[in-house]
Amino acid sequence: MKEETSNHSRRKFLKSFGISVGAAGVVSSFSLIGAAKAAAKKPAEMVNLLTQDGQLVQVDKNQLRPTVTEPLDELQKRGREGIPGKSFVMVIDLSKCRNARKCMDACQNHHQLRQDQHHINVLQMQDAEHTAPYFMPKPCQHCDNPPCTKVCPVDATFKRQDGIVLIDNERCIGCRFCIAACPYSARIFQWTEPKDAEKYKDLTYNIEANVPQKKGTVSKCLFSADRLREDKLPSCVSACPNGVYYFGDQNEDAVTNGTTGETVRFSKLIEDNAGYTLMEELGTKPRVYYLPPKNRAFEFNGDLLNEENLH
Amino acid sequence: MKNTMKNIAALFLIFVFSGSMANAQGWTVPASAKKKQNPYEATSKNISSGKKIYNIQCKSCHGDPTMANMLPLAPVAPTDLGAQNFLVQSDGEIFYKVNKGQGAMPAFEKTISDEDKWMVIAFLRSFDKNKKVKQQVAEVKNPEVTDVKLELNVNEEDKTMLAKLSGLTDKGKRVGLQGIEMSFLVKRSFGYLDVSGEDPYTNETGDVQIQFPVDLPGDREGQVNMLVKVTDDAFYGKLEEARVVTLGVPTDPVNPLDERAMWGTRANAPIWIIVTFVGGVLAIWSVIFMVLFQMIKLPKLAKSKD
Amino acid sequence: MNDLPKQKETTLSFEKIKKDILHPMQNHKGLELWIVFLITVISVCGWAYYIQLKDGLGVTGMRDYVSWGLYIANFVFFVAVSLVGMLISSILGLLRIDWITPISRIAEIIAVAFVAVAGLVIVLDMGRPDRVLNVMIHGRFQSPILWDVTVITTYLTVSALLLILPMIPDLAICKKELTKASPIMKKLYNILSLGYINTPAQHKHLHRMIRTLMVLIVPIGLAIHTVTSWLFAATLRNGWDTTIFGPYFVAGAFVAGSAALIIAMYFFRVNYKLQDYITELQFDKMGKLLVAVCLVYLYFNLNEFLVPGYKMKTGDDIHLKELFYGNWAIMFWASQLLGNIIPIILLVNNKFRKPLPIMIISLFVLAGAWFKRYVIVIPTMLHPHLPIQNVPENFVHYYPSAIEISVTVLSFALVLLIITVLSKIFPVVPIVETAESKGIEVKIDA
Repeated sequence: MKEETSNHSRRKFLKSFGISVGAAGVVSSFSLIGAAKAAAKKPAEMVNLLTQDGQLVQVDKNQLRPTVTEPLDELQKRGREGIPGKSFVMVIDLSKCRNARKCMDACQNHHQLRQDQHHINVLQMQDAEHTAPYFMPKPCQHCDNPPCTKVCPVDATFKRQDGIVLIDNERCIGCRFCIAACPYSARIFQWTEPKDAEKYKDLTYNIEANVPQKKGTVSKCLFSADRLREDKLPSCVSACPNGVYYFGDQNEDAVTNGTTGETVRFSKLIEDNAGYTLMEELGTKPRVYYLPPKNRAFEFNGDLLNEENLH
Repeated sequence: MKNTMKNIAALFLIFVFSGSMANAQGWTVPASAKKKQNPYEATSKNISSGKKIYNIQCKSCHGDPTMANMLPLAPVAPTDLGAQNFLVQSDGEIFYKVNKGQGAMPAFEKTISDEDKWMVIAFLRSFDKNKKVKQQVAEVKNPEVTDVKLELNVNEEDKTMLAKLSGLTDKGKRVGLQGIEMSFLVKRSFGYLDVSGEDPYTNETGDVQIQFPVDLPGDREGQVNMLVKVTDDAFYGKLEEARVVTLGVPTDPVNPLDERAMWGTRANAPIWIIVTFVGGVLAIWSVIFMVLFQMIKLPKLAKSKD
Repeated sequence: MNDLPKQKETTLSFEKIKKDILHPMQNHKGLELWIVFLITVISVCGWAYYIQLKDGLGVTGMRDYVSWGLYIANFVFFVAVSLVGMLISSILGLLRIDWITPISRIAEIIAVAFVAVAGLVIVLDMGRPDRVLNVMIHGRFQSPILWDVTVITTYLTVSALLLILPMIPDLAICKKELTKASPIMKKLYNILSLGYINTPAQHKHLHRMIRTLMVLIVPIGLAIHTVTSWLFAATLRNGWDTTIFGPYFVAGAFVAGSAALIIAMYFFRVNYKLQDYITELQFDKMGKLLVAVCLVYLYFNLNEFLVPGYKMKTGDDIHLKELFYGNWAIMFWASQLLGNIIPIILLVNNKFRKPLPIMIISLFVLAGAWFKRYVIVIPTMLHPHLPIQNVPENFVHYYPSAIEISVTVLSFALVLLIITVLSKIFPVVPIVETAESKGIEVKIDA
């Protein structure tokens, strides 16, 4: 099954690559950097190319026409500034989540994470002893009063004007204070050499995707800020097969469902469904909203929350 | 009859998804449920609203009807709901299955209203080649026309939009096209927000007027990008008009970084904390340096006493 | 070891004081062996750190949930012990309490050694120690870490000054008396003694400076503990999210520091044969002081655990149950009983305030203080607000790895090495001050 999907996306990518090569060589900056570097290194005709979803493909070198690549400085600068005029929000409809975990897979592919590293984690929740269990996808909440950025000693994690809380792995000193400060356990640390470090070592660091991941630094969900720049929904949102995620710009009062593509009023969605934020009593002011798991279209099929799963 | 249906379904599934385990026997639909009839007429209006609901609720797994572009799930892949071997079922049978769900197919009993479900079934029926009841095409028949035009009129004062759909008859007369559904879409970051309202069908003069939401944010000047189109391309081909209109509420995006905050970057630190830190460090270290400086005097003091 | 010579009616002369205190600095064979041993330990454990540097913090037992472990517990412990310098030589010194004269230098040596290594331990814990300068370049005023780095540096500086300045008269003596010292040491004594010959003007000037620093170190000492407690209290975690952490840490630091000082006093008394200077009086007084600070600490513990334990708020409940009768109960109650309550009961009795018993009790107090830090840091990390799921088994528990333990040994060995070296090159008991306090005339040749 897994194999099938990845083959599928590779095919899709090759198709789109073919088109873009034909047109003007306009690929996303990301794969181009990889391409340009690989091209410079390898004298062979075929070069390895990294697709956005983490696949390596072989492409004939002559087909590549590298356009101007974004240098690290530029990526860092625009990454810290954010996208003007935006105020990103996510809405997670708990009544639709059936633990498919496509969001987790897509996220791990995008951000080059191991299987046990979660920028987004689907948790089995039960609020009290006799209340109904449910699945809760938990990305970074991108709080408006973020406890994590408060404690960072070096401005390595910070909030941008579009509301996204980002990490600069080129500056992080690895003190892990932010991990201790985050009440949502949203942050992970690269304890060892990151996944496929050797494969990605020539990629220019992209602060908006935290890739390539850096050993000894903190990493976390960043709403796929690199995709937002191209008006694409975050990886997890697009990957969900069950219509769980809505994502959009609060300034426009609109969120778009990643599965159905339907765009709805953010305020109405929250109002009609009694949306809430996670642990609002902590005053963190999250930018991720949840719709309660009411009128669920399926049975809860988790391994019903034995003590260990709870804590 | 029932067996043939099963055989066809099984053959079809095996043919399309060789390797995946087809399980067509899974459904047992009570006889009473099978008898149900779609209480709604197959009007173009109902079909088109069924299509909308289908696209939101069903398409992600089942793909487009008759296109066989469903998600390749295992062990049982979703059925192409426009395929004839699916549509041989009665309305009641489909309605029951949508309600109850099975395996990966969710139960929509509570999540979609009955009316909406019947609309979807009406939409699916429109693909049925052996329709027992012939589809009643639009209540009013429009004349054959060419050079179909979509005109847009915006009234910024009372926030209404008027779209006019007209075509040229073979007699060279421009007439309004009626009963055609229009979509009024507002461009947002990741998609189009539908503001068509309840009844976006053209009237006998080919006009449709909608009320733009009074509280929808626009940019700083209140401008929004509108896209107005004929919902169903099947009638007159792709027909749409994009326009920037000043109907939104002027919205000045708030930049959270404008204020000094505890969570802000160093440059945005609250003044009092900078003053406390710098003041404290300066005060304490100046005392330390003062002491160090005073120590230099110690050797001199020995001599001065001699 | 037990049969220490009885306290004699001393007939001390300035010459005898000089001889008694300076003699062990140059004629102590065991000391050199001890230094060699410590350096060996440090080198071996340094290799463990090299592995950590090479392979990343993954060689430790820490993972995404318990992301602060043994190192941070050590850091808090080292910072705590270092506070004794401020307590003894500054607070009691400013109050003109005279029995501290012979032990104030040991207190400062402990302070300098522990705070210096505390600063190092924080670097050992960093994922990217190569970027340590970022704290200077990009330091954020809002982060407790910047404050911590600043106060630790300041405290180290002032403690070092408070070690050296009162020692200037003694260094002037060392310059003359320690004839066997190496040329480098002689030069060091010469420079640091600043031409001091104990003229009244020099005496007055020096003591004014010392008193200035004594006043200065009080806010810094309080700050270093308060800011360290903020590393925890600034978060929203169960067990850390409490307002009394600042004073709680200060009180705990006095306990740990006093215990460490008593242990050090005992070893210097026995090994350097300083029974005439570090007398039973000092142990008795330190015993009473330890009881006093333990009582304050007990009071804080009562507030810290009884109040939330009474309410059993969501989040706190799991944490406290684990501490009171769960997986952490043994460590928690051991640190409370052996490290605090039982020592208080014993030390109220003056028989236990004799040098050997109080040293043994202090060992328990100090060990208890360390375990207390461990119990403050790790259980809280294991009890986050949201469940720990979809991670490997070793994320859900925390056991320090061999590498971590080795690096911990390294930091402790480094503390001992600094104390040993300082006590080898500097007189551990103030010569001139002791003489002055006993009314013996002091004469320092130019």
